[in-house]
Amino acid sequence: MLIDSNAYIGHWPFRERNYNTCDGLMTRMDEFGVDMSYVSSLTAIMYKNTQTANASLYREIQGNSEAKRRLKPVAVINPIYGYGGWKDDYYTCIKEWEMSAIKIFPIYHRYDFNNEYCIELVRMAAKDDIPVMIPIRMVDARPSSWLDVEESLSTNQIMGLVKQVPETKYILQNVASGVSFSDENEKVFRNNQVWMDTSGRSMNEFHHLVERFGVEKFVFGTHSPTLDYVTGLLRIESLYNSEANEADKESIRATNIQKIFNHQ
Amino acid sequence: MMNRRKFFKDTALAGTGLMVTGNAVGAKPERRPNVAPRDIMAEVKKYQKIDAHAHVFLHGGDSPEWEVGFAERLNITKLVASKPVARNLEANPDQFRECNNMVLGAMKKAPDHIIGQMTLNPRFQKESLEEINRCVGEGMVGLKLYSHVKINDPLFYPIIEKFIDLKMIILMHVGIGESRVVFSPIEVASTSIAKDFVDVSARYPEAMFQFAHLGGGGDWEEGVKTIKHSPNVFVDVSGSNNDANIIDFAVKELGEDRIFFGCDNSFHQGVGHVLAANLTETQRRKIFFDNYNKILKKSGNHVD
Repeated sequence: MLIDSNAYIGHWPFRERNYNTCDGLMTRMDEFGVDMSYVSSLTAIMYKNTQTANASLYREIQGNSEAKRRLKPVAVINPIYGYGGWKDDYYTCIKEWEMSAIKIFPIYHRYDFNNEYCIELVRMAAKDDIPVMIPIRMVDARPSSWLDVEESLSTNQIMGLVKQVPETKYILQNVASGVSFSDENEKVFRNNQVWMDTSGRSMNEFHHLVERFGVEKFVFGTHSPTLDYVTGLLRIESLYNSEANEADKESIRATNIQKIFNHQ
Repeated sequence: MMNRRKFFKDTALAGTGLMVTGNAVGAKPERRPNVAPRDIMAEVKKYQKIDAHAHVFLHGGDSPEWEVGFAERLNITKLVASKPVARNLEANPDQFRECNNMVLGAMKKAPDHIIGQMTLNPRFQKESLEEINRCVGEGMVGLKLYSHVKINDPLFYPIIEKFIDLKMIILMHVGIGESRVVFSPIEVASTSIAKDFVDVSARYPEAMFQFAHLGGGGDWEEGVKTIKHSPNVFVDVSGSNNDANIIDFAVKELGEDRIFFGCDNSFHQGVGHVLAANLTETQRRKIFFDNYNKILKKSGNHVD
């Protein structure tokens, strides 16, 4: 089984994206044998009021019977928008629309991990036992538009949030700014409910990362349609048997993500 | 020597022909839920590959074993590898000779995997020309340059002419340049950008230039659009930025004959985005292997 923990549909303002509809994404899933994808709205990232894009994502998935079965919507929540109005967004997405997780973008929405509402949101997720997904970056800033952000998050910054709210499940996505933790933060990563997806460029020596942290800390992710659809999977499939046996690979392909979402 | 004007005219026509026959990207796949999914490791094993943009001794002391390890993991037949001399403009002949000696050492250590590529600093013209003779004599093929001079700098002309005679390609680093409109403040002014390739390719239509790493941090769409009508400028798709559309866009704009597979030490991305691209079987074979092997064949250094 293959479950993509990190996919999007929607529009990106600075470059054309392909396969960015339900049908487009499912075309890629069929081609490479992906059974299920956790999907957020790409459009929402550039909206301050992310909820309108969450609603579009929900409607698009609801309107397609196959998508309803294979695409699990993930809400993009902006916790500094609407002076508490974001809580309505959260409850609508999670309770009414039964979205599976939330995704946050502190740089695009301009707050940091010490922000009281960010911390409140992450605590709400823990209470509802839903994971919080945090992309390190959306795109490589170098070739992007001058209007796009230049900063990325770091794994150490995110460990600061984990220390404040350790009861939450976190999935770090498109890890592209290195996996060089401070000693203290490496312990935080190892000892808490924190995973990384396989899409980011810092996963290049994936065999060493698996050896260092164990297969249980990684989940398959494509970061589609921004990154190519194959590289995140190739990192798993090209592991030698001596580095990860079939059961280990299956953990990264699907089992770990099923456990995170309590599907197993 | 062939008349440059005539050569340019002929090459341009040939290039136009290539564009007519070679720019069709494989038809977009439609939903085929009952067809068996692709087996990506079977495809990794199926295609021979020449990494047209490889390095040794950039990762650390375990070179070339580190690079060869990835080549074996991902069935990369050959790594066309250099050790670029320091980016500072004054990198002297002793320094570039030392880099080339390191590559020669790697070639001896891993002869089945590594095709050595020399590096120079064109600011030291006499020593650079002497070094070309030495490196070619030792079996190196092609040239990799950083930003010591722009690719269209007159200091570089004698070296370009030498490589025309050798029938070997010149791989030039490309920077972020004007990707975010204003020239990147972290780069030296002599960093080549796409329009410099257009300029030099018009001056030397018989030379072969390789526009480095579409995934290396520059605006790949702008780069491809800029060099589109320069038929002796090839691109490699290496780099850490495996943006989903790089190869599809390059094939659409440049045709299938001017694109080389490459990794620039980002091995998973290099192989991954060629497999992910919407290509025909022929296009995939050309990009992975045939296009660069054709370049090697011109100097008699091709892979059988």
